[in-house]
Amino acid sequence: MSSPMSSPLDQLVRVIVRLIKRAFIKFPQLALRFLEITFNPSGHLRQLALVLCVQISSFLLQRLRNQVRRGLLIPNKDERALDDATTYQQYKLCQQRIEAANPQTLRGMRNDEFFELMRQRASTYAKLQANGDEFGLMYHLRSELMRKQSGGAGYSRDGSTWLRKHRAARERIEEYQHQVCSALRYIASGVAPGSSRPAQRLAFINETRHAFGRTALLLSGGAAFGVKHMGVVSALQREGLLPRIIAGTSAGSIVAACVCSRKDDELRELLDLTGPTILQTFRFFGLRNSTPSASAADLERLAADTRAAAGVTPGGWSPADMEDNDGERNLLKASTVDWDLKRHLKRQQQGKTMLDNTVLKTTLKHL
Amino acid sequence: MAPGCLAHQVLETTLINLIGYVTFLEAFDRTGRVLNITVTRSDGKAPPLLCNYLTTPHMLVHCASLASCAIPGVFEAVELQAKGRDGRLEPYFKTGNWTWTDGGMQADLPKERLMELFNVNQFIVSQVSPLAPLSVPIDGTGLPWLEQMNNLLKCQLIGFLQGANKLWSGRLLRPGGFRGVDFILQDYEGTVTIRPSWGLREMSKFLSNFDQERVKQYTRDGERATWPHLELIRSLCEIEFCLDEVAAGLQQSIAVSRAAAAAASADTPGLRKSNSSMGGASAFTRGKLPSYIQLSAYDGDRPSDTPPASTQSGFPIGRSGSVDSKQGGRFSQLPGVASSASMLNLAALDTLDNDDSETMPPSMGMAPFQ
Repeated sequence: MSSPMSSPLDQLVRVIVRLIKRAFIKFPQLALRFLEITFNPSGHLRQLALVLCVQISSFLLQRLRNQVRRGLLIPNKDERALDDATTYQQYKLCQQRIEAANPQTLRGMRNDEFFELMRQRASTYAKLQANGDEFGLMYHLRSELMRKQSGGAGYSRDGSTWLRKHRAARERIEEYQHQVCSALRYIASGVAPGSSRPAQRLAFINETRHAFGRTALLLSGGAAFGVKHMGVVSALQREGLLPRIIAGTSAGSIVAACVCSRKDDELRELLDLTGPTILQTFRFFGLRNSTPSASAADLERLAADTRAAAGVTPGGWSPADMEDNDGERNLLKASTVDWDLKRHLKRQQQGKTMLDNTVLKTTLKHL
Repeated sequence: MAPGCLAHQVLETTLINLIGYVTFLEAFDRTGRVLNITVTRSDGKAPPLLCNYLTTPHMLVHCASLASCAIPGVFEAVELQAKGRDGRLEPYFKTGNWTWTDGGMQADLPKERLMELFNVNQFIVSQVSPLAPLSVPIDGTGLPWLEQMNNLLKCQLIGFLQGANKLWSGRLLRPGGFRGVDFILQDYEGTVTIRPSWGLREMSKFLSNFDQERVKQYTRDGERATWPHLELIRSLCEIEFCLDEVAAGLQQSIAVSRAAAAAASADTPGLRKSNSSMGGASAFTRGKLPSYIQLSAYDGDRPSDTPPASTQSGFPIGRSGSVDSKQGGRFSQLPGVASSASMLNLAALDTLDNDDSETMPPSMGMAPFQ
């Protein structure tokens, strides 16, 4: 017979059980809510949809605007000439004519402070140079010369680059820069009365150079579009603006490697497409051959032949100056065949004989 | 090793024809240009490798380029090769059996590494990647507010992905090893970004070969895209190029005067005994610390007391007979371990040591002088 009134202990147990039950029901809801706040999936998906729309529409707008600018609606002779220019000289002339028609002003750029600073510094350097005060010039240049000068209308840190996009601003900065260059040449020439020794002057220049920093050219990836990098390099090289540090990725690495393994005159030849074998060699993509692969024995025989022939056979054109170095080149060739053979054998051991006879063809072509 | 749909042997032949069997160090010693190529390990579990003459001097340029071009699924991943001590090809990484693929996967623009290695603080970027417009602001629509809104939205989404990238050590965003998100999480812009345009029609020829007309067309596209930026680049680089030119001239004149002094002291052997006793081994190590700073090394007429670069690097075979006996037989057999230039110009410090007058600190502007 059970008592109608349960014991306090029993009641306590019942309360706890009820609490746990509620927690188990509530917990998934809470966790979901927590995840939703953290990741905000609906918000991000909506943003994604919006950004897709905006991206596509701005892409279309860009195209449309280009078409319009190319003279469908606006019969602007100069602007169309800008598109038809074949050399940079022509382009520059057209640009100048357009700018003369609608002159830019510096009003609204709010950079008076920056230009005033530039002007003051330029006049200081000019005065010191006129007085023949080499140490004073060095002192000022060491403490004032730096790449990212303050400037620009906004608070963005590349304000200086933004500012230079305007020709009027560029011209005012150029006055300052010409003065700096002339001061540097003055110091290096050592014509100042009581000038320091050449080693000291070089140390000054080197330290300033290190503090100022360098420029690099970066060529991106992009498969076949990578050939467009050639044009970029060509335009920079023609104007003497090609940096000495060049980095390439993917398709850009091919162009970068070609540029960096050639001296200036050879580079000119490559960029003008006048080199002997350039156009024949622009063959980057070939389909994998599905015919039965060359047997290892064939390659072995080929390798043996090459090793025997090393020292006799001259090879194909290569840009490095190996002309006087037939022995080394043939050794390299022989070791290339060795390399291919090893790779092939490794594949066969792995049971993957999808390797086609292009290896054989390639090596034959080398020889 | 997943096979790609295109044969990498064709590309390899092309690259060898274009570049030859050159190592990074040889290319640098020949032209004075610093070549950098990014490659990514095919399992994606290592940071991208930036190959240049400092980090991988003996790697062959053409195979680094081949690896960098190996877009997964199109070309097969390749092994990296080096020119060994005896001039033969050998695998660059002796252990690990790694293969390497497209550098653009993780770092299309290797900015940080360049900043560390070469003191670069300004980047001219030529951007032709078809993926770049996904994360870079579009301009030229004529509606600035639309561009800014687009930019804000992209930044927010990319920021979210960057946060999510830290979850579970990056595995959340790469389900099943698919690393597509790496393309979005990169920086595609530099100080100046040149964007040669490409149309949708050209997209269909993304992986097709070139005839003469197409190469010319593409080169013209690239040039045309560069022209609007040329004056900006000239303005940005003016002081730097002036510093380069001035430093090269000074180094040249110092080297010439040093050579003249050495020639004069050769007549009186007693005076320069300490210098000549350093001998070949010292000439081998001195002046060969890696640097791109000393420009005079590439100017053809080098001073007589530094050996020509070609004996130091790259071509150990076939030259062993012609190397001057002064250097000793052992060193002439070895390939170069460093370039022919010197960091912060030790040659200039040398002249300070040899000078019999007062000893001055090499730094300028630190101590006033009379």
